[in-house]
Amino acid sequence: MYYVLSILLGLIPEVLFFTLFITYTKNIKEKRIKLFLLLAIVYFLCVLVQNLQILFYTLLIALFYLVLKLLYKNKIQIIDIFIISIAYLWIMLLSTVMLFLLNSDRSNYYYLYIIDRILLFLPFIFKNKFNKIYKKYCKFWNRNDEEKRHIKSITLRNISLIAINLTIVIANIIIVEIIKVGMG
Amino acid sequence: MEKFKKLLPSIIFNLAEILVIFLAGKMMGLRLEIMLVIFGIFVMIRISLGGAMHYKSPYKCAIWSLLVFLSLFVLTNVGLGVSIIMAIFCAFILTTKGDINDMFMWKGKDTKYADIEEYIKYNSMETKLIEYEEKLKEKDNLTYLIYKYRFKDKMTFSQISERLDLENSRIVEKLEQIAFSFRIYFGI
Repeated sequence: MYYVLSILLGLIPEVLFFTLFITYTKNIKEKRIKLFLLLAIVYFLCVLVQNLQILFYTLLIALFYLVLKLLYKNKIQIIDIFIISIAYLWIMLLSTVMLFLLNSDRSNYYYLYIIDRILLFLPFIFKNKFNKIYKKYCKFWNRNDEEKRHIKSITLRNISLIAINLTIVIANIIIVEIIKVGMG
Repeated sequence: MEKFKKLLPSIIFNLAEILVIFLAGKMMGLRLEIMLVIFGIFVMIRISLGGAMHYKSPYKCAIWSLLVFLSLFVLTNVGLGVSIIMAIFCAFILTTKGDINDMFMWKGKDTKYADIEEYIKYNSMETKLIEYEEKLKEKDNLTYLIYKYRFKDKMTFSQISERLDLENSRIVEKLEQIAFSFRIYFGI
């Protein structure tokens, strides 16, 4: 029963969230169902192999990137790893908030879980802005000394790298806690 | 000797920077050999890839290096393997190899239009080629722009797509038309 619920409330909404996040950000209109299915398979395999431990998060980000590369080839750039991480960070933030709101007797666990799944899709209210922000991110990624910019290419890269590293650290703490709570 | 004297302040600064990084790691309770592994891998990858990115100000460089290494050191709490993978990734991103259109890992050789690329390369000043380009421009400016961006400016699909706000499938379709007319026009 636990595994059925974790697929219905865990895997499907999260993979759907990743698929939508990536397609809106990159303005991808083709192969969206294929993308969803492949991400779902990868996610499922990662859970089976790593059981949400240590390498799971890094492996998941890397494999999601490979799936994207496989499907969309030249359209996928190295910075898309950071897009996957940002999506991941949103899942983590929500989960952290929900963990804090959890009663000590876990009586509100399923309510919070459902609220969490609904709030997961909240950023898509601004889905039209995703691609614009992404284009700006791309613009500042490569170094260009001739143009005056608000942020240097190397600063943007440093911030992105620190963010991805911290996302993995937070994910490691949060997910393990969630699993503990979920398992009772 | 003169050269060494000139380099001395930057050598001292770099050594001090490394010392601060290792002291910060020590304060986090990390073992020296773990710090050496992460630091060594990062530096080696960065040197071997070439094109390392730097700030003009050494102080900025030192502060950001410290922050990146601290985040890598924190990652050792997840696992040394993860930290090493991310050290390699960080080293890659912080070089020009991490630029959007310079990904040696993925830049496949597109041989589909190799004949056209080669023809343009060796006949760029030929009157016939200039005539063809002018005709293309007159007939359809969008097609001409795709031709120019793809074959003359060597842009990637995503760059063309962004520049012209066109979907990849539309660019491919237009390129097929260009390739067909080009090959017939020049008999290649």
